[in-house]
Parts: sequence; structure tokens; C-alpha cells
Amino acid sequence: MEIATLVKEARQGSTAAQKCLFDQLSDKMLVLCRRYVKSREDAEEILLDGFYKFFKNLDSFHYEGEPAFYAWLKRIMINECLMFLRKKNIFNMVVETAAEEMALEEDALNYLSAAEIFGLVVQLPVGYRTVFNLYAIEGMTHGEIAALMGISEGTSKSQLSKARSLLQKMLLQKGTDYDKRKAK
Amino acid sequence: MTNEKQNEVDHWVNKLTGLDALPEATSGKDILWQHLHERLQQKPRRKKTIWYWAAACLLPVIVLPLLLNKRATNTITKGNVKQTQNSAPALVISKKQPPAISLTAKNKTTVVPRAKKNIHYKYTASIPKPAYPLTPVIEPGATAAIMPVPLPDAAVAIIAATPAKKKLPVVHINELGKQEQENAPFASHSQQSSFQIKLFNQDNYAGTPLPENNTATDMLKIKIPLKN
Repeated sequence: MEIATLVKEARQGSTAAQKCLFDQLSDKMLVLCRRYVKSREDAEEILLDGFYKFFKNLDSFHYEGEPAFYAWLKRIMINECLMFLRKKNIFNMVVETAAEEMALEEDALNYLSAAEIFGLVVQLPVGYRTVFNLYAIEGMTHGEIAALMGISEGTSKSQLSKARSLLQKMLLQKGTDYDKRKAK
Repeated sequence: MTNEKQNEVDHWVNKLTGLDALPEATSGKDILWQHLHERLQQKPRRKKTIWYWAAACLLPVIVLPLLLNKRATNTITKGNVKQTQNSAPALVISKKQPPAISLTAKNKTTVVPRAKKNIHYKYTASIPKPAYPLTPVIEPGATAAIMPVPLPDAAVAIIAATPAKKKLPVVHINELGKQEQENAPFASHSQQSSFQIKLFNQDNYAGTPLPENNTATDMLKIKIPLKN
């Protein structure tokens, strides 16, 4: 069934349509939540909160195509994740301007599989991970990130550079595998 | 540049976002759906609404006596308030009103001596009583607002007392006789009076008067000789 019809029926209160939507989207959204939150249980809780808000606010959403629909749902989930992290007082980060500069060879990440990249990102500390997710994956600017997280732009930049340098270190540790793949 | 990179199929971001399921084991979808369904079916709690209703019922019970008390106090104090209040509003005057102050000069011919002592002002300023009340009344058709500024009496007197200064030609006292001789038969009364002013303004009179000619026109010349 198409997303558009499912959304229409779910808006009318059809539980079947709601379940169909949940089945189709929950896996992807759980991956997204898991990128922000380390614990699986927490990620599942956030997922439920996000879907609850999604179904409750479906009336106010005007369906204009699948990309917009996915973007809206993703935004709900990201906001839920950030709210969760904020509740845990994780964003009390100190501005560290003298961030260790170590450029990340992003090409090196291209040789890794999705699961491997996911594993690396999840290993990052919470602050680094959040900024890295928002900047490198969601494509937000430092200003937007700063506003969302309640931190300064400088902090966001320093967190990103630290995240990159840490990822680079992790890649270097995986150096032998990476070299082998590059040779292929 | 980054967009171009992200458009590549092998770009790591696309790989990551394209990940459909977690590599690790998760609790089943059905269990999660059950939790969500329960939450969706739950009706919003009525406890809060009950408290709101209770508050709404109590509000008039508390507020009404207070309002009634206030009204009672208002009726008592109303009489006093009426006495002190001005019925007229603060400003806005009609177009056809007379100017705030009009000065009328009764005597134009004045002699203002230069000496600081014993200044006699002959200009008089009469300030008519305004036809309108000092606290003006609003007229619906009024477009411009003119604010009358009632001046204090002293200020009006000062304004009235300063006459227009005339520049008089400086004439030597020796020339006065000739001039007078020349002009005497033709001099009008006004010219004579101006001659007197000139003399007064010069402050040249000193010493004792000499009775040379005792005619009416030569009086000043005789009585006030130059100091030189």
C-alpha cells in the first residue's frame, strides 16, 4: 500500500493503517534514534514517543509527497532524541577552542559498509556523536545545531572537529582492513 | 561539493541513511506496536479537567463578594470625587477663538528716559479676559489644537514696556541753536518733542542753567548747556 493512502486512512483513525505505517517506518527510525542514543532501550522508548506524536499530529500534516513525509517524521524523531539527551543534561559541554586538528579522510569511510560506519559513529561520545550526526549526516549548519542543542557555534565546531579526529583514529586502528579493501 | 559527494551512490552518508535495520537484535516490532497502540488508545486524563472545573466554580464565589464590596466603597466616595474633578477636558480648542493675549497701545508718544531710575512706562497692556474657559471644551469639528499660554502679569508688563528703539542723529549742542533757528518757525509739535527726547537721551545736561533767552522754544537750550 502506498504511503499517501496509509497516511490518509491513519488520519481518519484507522488502526490498521497506523500499524502498517509503523511496520514500514519503525526500522529506519530506530536506526536513526540509535545513532543519537547509545542504549537500545532508550532508542526504542524514543521511537515510541516519536510515533505517538506523529500519529497525534497527523491531522495538521499536509501530505506533499514521500520525501517531505519522511523529512517530517525524521525531524520528529531527531527532536525527540535531542529532548531525551537534553533531559539527561548531556549538552553541558565546555567550549574547547583548541581542538585537536586531525582531518578525517572521508573517502576512507566510503570503503566501509553501512554497518561498520554505524558501529564507528555509535562509538563516539555523546556530544561528538550528536554534532557529527546533525552536521555530517543531517546536513545542518553550525548555527542550526547551536540553536537546537543550546550551545554556541564555536562549541559545535570544536565538537565536530573532535568527532572527526576521533573517527580518523578509529579508522587508523582499522588500518589493515581498510588498506586491503582499497587495494581491491 | 558536499552535495555532489552525497549524491554519489557509494558515499558513506547514503550508506548510513540507507541502513534499513539495526545490525543488533531488537525487541520485536509487534511488542513495540502493542505499547504504542495502548498509548494511542488511552484517553487523555480527566483528573486535570476536574480540577479546572472546580477552579472555575470557585472563582465566581470568591470574586463576586469582592466586587460587591468594591462597588459599595465606590458609591460612598463618588460625591467627593465629583467635587474635585474638572468637568472640562485638558485641551483642544475651536478654530474661531480669539488669540490668547492682545496688546493695545493707548498712547503712542512716549518719553522713555535713559536714566535707570524713575522709569515711567506709558505703554499699557490690557489683557482681556478670555472668552473661553481656561480649561477648554472639546468640539467635534475641531481640527487644530491651540494651546493658550496664560502669561504672568509681570511678563506682560515687560513685554509692553519695551518700545521700539529709534536711532536718533547725533547733533552737537552748538548746532542746535542754528537748527532751531532754521527750523523753529516750521517745526511741528512732533519734531519738537523728538528734539526733547534726544536731549534727554544724551545725558549731557550738567551745571547751572543760564537764562539767556526766555522764549518758549529756547527753554531747553538755555537751561541745559553742554558739559564739554
